[in-house]
Amino acid sequence: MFAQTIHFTSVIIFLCLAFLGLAIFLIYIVYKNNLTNIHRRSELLHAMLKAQEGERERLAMDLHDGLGSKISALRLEHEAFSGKIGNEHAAKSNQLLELIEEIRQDVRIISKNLVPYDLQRYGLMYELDKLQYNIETVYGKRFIYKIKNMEQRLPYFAELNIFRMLQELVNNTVKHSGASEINLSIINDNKSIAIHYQDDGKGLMHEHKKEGIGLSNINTRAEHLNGNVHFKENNGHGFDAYITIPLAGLHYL
Amino acid sequence: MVYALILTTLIVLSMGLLMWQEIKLARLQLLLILLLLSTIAEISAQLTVHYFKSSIVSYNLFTLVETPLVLFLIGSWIRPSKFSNLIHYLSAAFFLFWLSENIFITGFYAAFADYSVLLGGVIVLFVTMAYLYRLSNESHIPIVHLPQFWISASFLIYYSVSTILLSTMGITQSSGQQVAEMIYNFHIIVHILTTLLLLKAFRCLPKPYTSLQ
Repeated sequence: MFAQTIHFTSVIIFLCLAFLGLAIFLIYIVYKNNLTNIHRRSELLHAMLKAQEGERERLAMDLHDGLGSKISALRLEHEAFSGKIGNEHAAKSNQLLELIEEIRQDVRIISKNLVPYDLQRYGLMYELDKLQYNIETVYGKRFIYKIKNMEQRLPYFAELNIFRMLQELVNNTVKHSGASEINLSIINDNKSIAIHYQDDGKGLMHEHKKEGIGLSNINTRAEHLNGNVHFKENNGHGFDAYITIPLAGLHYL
Repeated sequence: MVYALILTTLIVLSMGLLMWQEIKLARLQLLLILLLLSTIAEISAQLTVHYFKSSIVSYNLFTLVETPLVLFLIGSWIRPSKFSNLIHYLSAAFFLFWLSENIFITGFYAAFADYSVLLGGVIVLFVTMAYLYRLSNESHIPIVHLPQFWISASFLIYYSVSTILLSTMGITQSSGQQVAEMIYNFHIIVHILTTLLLLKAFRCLPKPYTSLQ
């Protein structure tokens, strides 16, 4: 009887251990499968974003070397020609010169926005200062940003993606929201970077439903950095975007 | 041993309650309900053993709520789809089976509902495995950083052992008090370990959004 009891107990415990081992093995397989998928997806996203940046660079060069130099030539031609026209057309000539100068500035801003060369050289914080200056001077909106523990630079591709996401958000605010103030906070808590973007406009979700490209680009970029994005609309009284990017793994970019 | 299990569950439950904001953010409130009911079931089992010489009623009742709660918890993490519908159908099927077994076959007070435990365990194992596979394909961050992964893993480990142990409880009890106690203690050890795995899940909970504004 005792031997039978021991035998029975052993069989049950052996079965349990076998199933326990199988469960742990399955969990391991699932984990490996997840890592393989992430690696594959990350490579694909990296290639896609790199191609996008390459295309932006090409466009910026075309704008700068092609259109930019033609506008400069036009300005020089105009200056040479303006000496030959009489006083009665001077006002019109000055107006034309102002317009040419405006176009030249616009082309410069667009090509600089396409490829943020200063980002690579001076980092995200420098670009944020420039962004603040542009928003306040060009668009006449208040841009307040606060940062915490961001003294150390991040890998370039991470900084570029964060900057592009902010650019996209600012773009949406400027184009669609009618906001007068933008608030941005960036915190590095040594584990992740928490970005909170807020404007006091009419909200963006209706735009998002219509077009979706801008906000989905933000999602793609956050995904590439293993992060996540949460958009919150306050019933027509402003818009909030929360972006969290874990620091672990950023140096692989 | 059972007091160690109650204590562990209470500690994990308190940890969860302390992190209520994060729990809400990760939609894990059902997990705390499950832990609370599990503690109540264990305490009431001890009381019924003391007063009525049998804890069958407590365990049979807990089996009824445990499986659907686990299934609803997993179902709450996924968007409405064929899979989430399947989870609801499986919950309903389990409920009907539990009623049939407890009312018509074994009797609610008479015996431990072995077949319900077996069916519940198999359903939970199937759903957990399917969910983990889905999670591994869909998650764009390593799943070890997700609380859902650790909770599902703890379910998978717990139910793979528990299904065998509890569904053979009838045979075990007929083999003598010593065997039943030994196997019951083994079950409690696995239960404690898997409950502790939930602490790891709590460590992965997303933090509420922070801002300097």
